[in-house]
Amino acid sequence: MTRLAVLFLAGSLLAGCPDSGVPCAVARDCPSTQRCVNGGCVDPGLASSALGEACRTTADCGSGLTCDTDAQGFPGGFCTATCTSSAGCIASACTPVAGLSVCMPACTADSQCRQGYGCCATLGNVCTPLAACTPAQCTRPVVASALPPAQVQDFGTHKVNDEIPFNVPAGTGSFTIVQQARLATLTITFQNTLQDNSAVPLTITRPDGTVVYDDRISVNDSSPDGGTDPSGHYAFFGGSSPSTGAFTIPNTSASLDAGVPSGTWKFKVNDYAYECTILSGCNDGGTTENTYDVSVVTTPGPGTTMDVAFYIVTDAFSEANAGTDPSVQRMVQTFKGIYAQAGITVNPVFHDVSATDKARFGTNISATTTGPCDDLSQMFTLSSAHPGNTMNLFLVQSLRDASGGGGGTVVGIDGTIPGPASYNGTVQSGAVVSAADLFALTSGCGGGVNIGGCGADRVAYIAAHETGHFLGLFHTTESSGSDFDPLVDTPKCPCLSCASPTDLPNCTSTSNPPFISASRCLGTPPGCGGGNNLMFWFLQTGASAGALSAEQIRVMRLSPLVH
Amino acid sequence: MIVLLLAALIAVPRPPQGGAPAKDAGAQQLSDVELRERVETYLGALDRPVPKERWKALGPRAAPILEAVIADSSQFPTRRAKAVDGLVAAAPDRAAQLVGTLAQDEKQPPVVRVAAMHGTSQVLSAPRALTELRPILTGARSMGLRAEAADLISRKSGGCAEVRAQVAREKAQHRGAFDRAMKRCKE
Repeated sequence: MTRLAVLFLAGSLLAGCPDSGVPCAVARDCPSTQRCVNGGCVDPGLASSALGEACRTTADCGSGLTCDTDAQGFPGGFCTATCTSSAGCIASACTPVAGLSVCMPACTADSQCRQGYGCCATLGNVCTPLAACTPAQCTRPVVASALPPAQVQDFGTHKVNDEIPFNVPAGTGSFTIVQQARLATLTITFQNTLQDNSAVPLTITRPDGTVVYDDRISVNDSSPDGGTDPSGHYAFFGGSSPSTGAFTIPNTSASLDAGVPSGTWKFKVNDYAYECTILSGCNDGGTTENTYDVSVVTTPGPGTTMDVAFYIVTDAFSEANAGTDPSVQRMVQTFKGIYAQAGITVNPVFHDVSATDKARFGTNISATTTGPCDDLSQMFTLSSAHPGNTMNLFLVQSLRDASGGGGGTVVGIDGTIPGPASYNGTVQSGAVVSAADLFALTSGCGGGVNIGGCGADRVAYIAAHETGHFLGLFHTTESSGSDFDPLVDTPKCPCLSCASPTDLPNCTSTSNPPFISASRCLGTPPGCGGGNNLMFWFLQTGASAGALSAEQIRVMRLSPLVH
Repeated sequence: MIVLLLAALIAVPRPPQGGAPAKDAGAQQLSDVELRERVETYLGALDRPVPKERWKALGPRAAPILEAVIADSSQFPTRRAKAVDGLVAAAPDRAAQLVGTLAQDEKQPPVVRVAAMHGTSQVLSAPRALTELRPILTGARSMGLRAEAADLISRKSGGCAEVRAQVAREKAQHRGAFDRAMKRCKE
């Protein structure tokens, strides 16, 4: 054989695996960015990739296919086609992924899917990005803000750790960073405990370069009275915002005082799953692949009007008689009165939900299983039926703690603090309130507000409390008497100062601290306050008065919800 | 993030996943006034569920207070329901005497009946709980109550056959309420 022939033969052999030379039998043997061709891993080339194979752009995909790119959350890119039914998909199934219906390759085991993909049984045995494999009934809509375009900066889909610059115009009262999961995993395991994967900026940076929030840093919030008090920080995140996360500034005394400087700010897209890849303590769930639809809304200043949509998820009344039913009208008037003291005018509307949705969500929805695919969060997506900038309050027949703790009956729960105001239809777009008391004790509803003796007033108070959370308010003092909201003008009720003599020794217990009741937080002894506040953790006849501090009112009126 | 994850458990009005330890030395030393105050505190929680262990720590001394709330129809239904939850944990023997009747009583508010239904599952033997829950599954006027009975029965040995039979009798538009039970029966 001549030397030329040897070189020709060698060249022919190399053509089978021209790039890495990594041998492969199936696509999963290759990196996610490559295809398996003739027993070797190769980069995608012009029009070469079939459905489900790697791609960099649509030009790499075969006829009729488009490339869902790595940046969109499809590891290594993924050639596919949109569809309306599985009849239009060959050796694949029409599958809802990232808000679209696309053809995904059929499979029976993970080994048949590329790296970064798994065989998702809940979506009908198709290869999907790991983050896309959710329960079949789970929807995580990505929606647009209902605010005028001048107030909304939409940055499209980004991967975690992408840094997004955004503009804060002069005169801005507040801004809210909103992340909505496109393809994001549902949970992480942190210190052996399963947690929902919350969406929260990794960092937020002011125009002068100062980092005003860093989710990686543990800050010292120690308060002289024995609790934690985050009021001195420019920004505060309370936690628990899976799939859809909203972050509003200002939300602390420090940022209310300092204001929101105009100019170019920046934030990094992030979730707990990403932090799992850069911080210690996670056992499972870390990934750098999750993607979010990212936007920022700005508000010009304190608003005065709030539109409220009551969703009737109970058989007790309907949209048709809500306007004339005395108990419902009493509830509305009391709710309005609570917000009137904050200078906020409430415009209420009522919406029925379908019989099917009422059946699914109306009775005994769990207040404690609050992942994005759980019933509570899925119920909030019903608000997509009525786009707008509304506070969505879901009135259900009953609500329970379904956790192992067995806490039983609950009267209300908010989605997140704050809620994604102006984004109706997400898994966090509302709060739920038990309507079980609405028509009870009507004889006590004749005079002034009577939360201890009039069911409608009591439901109104609970609805107002949950709305306060959606607008960005935390409990003034948590049940343990050791955690306080980030505002300095809300009275505290520290356990060490205010607990009963019997409870006092347990104040420093981390496992079994006492619960601080409202009656111990009414100003006696001095330094024990907040029991009359709307945002106290607990409702007590004779104590709960719906009080609000000046800073609480400022936070609420700076929410995009109040216009 | 460590701090924030902990904050997620304590600062947001979503309830903690775990309960407090059962041991509460202080609860045994409470005066009557303090005991009543503690019961009132637990009954007044808004978006913070009171872990079962906290109720349990109050012990049988709390039973008369809770039974009075449960029996008082001039109290708010959610308050009475919480009192049922509390009695089941604090004094299961006393609770066993009333949860079955309460659960089946069509005159009671649904939220109270739901609490009692859960109580039957906790304080009665499995056969007895099934006996109490079965009429609710098949005969409660409220579809939500039938569905909740299905959820509880599906956790009992042999309960799935009854659940499936009931789902077959339900209108199609109501079957979504039985999803939790049916899912458990498929597992």
